[in-house]
Amino acid sequence: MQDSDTESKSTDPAPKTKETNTAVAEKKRKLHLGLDLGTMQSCMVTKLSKPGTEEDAGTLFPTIVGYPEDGILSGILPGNAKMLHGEEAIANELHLRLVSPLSDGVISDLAAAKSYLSYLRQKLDPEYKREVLCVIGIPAVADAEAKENLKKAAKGAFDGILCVPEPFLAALGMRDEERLGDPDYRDPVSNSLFVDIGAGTTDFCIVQGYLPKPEDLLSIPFAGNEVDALLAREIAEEFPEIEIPISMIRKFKESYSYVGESESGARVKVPVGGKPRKIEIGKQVGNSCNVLLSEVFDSIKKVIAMASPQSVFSLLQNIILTGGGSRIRNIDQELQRMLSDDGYEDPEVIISSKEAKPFVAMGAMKVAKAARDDQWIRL
Amino acid sequence: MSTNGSPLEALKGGFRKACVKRLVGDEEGAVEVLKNEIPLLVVAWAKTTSIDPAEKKAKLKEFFDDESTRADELAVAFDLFAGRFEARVASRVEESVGLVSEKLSFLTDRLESAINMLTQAGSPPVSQVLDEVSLKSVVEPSKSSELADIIEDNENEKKKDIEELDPPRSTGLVFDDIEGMIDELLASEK
Repeated sequence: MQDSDTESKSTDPAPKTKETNTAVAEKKRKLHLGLDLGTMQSCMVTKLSKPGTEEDAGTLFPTIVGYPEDGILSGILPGNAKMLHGEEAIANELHLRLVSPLSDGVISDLAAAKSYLSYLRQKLDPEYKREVLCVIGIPAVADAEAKENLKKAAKGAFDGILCVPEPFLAALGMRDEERLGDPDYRDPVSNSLFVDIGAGTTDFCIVQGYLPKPEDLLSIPFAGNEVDALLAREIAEEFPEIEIPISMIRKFKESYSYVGESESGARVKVPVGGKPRKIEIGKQVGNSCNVLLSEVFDSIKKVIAMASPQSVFSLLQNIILTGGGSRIRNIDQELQRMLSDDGYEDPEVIISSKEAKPFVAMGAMKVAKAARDDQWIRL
Repeated sequence: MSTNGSPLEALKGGFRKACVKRLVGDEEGAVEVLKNEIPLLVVAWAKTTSIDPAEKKAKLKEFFDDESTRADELAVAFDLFAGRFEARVASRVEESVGLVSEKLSFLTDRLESAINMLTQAGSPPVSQVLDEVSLKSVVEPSKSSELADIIEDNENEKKKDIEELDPPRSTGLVFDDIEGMIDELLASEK
């Protein structure tokens, strides 16, 4: 893990110390925060609203920190900032060295992560007037070191945190408590297999009405970022004369991703020697996404094998895809077909929501609201 | 955990008490708690929390729904257990009670025949006869210990039966108990 701590000391957006925070914490009003700290994108939810309404979108921030390139002229960056985050960093990427604080869902650059979390805190409570208590989603099988790094990074940004496995939060966030009495409502937490396809990891979690145990969880470091890398390689092989930045590749994937039989019709505009040129990348997008599909399928089979014999048949009828990867076209149908072809009885794969919903952050917010004061890990 | 005396815990405890009273059929007691204790506990809790009124209302509804659900679940679990217990143990208890009943009938018959015999002879007063009979038969050491043995056997049989019942299946932590899940999560990290 990289650690450019010295670099960040003078530029960290969190001016308050722990002592200052804790000394006045008793007098501050509490502010609960549900945070899905993603490898590519993070989402904050500070208010619970009814699932399915427009209000539950949360606030999204790219998970990126930008450090100015050496020798940059004064006035180039907004406010002559010594560090930029999120959208601002992306908007000024020409003049910045961009650093991703996370890799495969866990912190890979502690200083950048610390700075990024403080940036989020400032977005929420710029004057540090509130006691911010934050539940943060972590990959299903994050180890002790990953959790410890998260605590270190959150110190100074939040007053208290709780780290909770992401698929569990997704299940909790997806649950509509108001419909539990409705006989037609299928409670997603009663007996489901959650598959959270993110950017850094794909997490699998058997949710059967209680907190999942380690044996109910599986995480693979194969997700959206790997699809980007595969797509970049496929395009480079087909069009060796064209050099396309990974950020552009990612946008192509987000626009045209699909799984199943090869399709054409994805014509994208790329710069070649400064001139625009249109290329067809339908086949390449399909090939890259199908690799992810295959990885997810193999892992689902492993997780199904871990389920108890009593629950496995109904579990098969409640496989729920969530996260950015669940928006790949046909992924639910293809997975269902593959499971069926492989001999599983009446599998049913559904997508948690057709719209992008911050279920992890919503679940985190529910946990934050329910947590007792003595349960928070004080920083 | 140090929240036992917190207004929130007191409020939850109060509502739980009302639910339990209702479950055991004490409707009046439940109404009494709801009418006289809960409002005070709500006020005490509301003073300690800084969330806005709408959220307070929602939170209160959530507490009450949770406690009510727990009480209902408890009632269902109790009914299930009681049903199974009755089915497995009742026949044996009936058998044991039958044995004791037979012994008592036997002693009563002997007592009655003794009284009849004495009445026919026309001698000592009935109270004296009763004393003698009780000394000879009812409190006869061998008979008394026999009865005690029967009762003890029955008790042992009952205990054995209870031990032989299938252990209650763990229901784990329900999703509504997020607090409990956090406790488990924190414990697993230690």
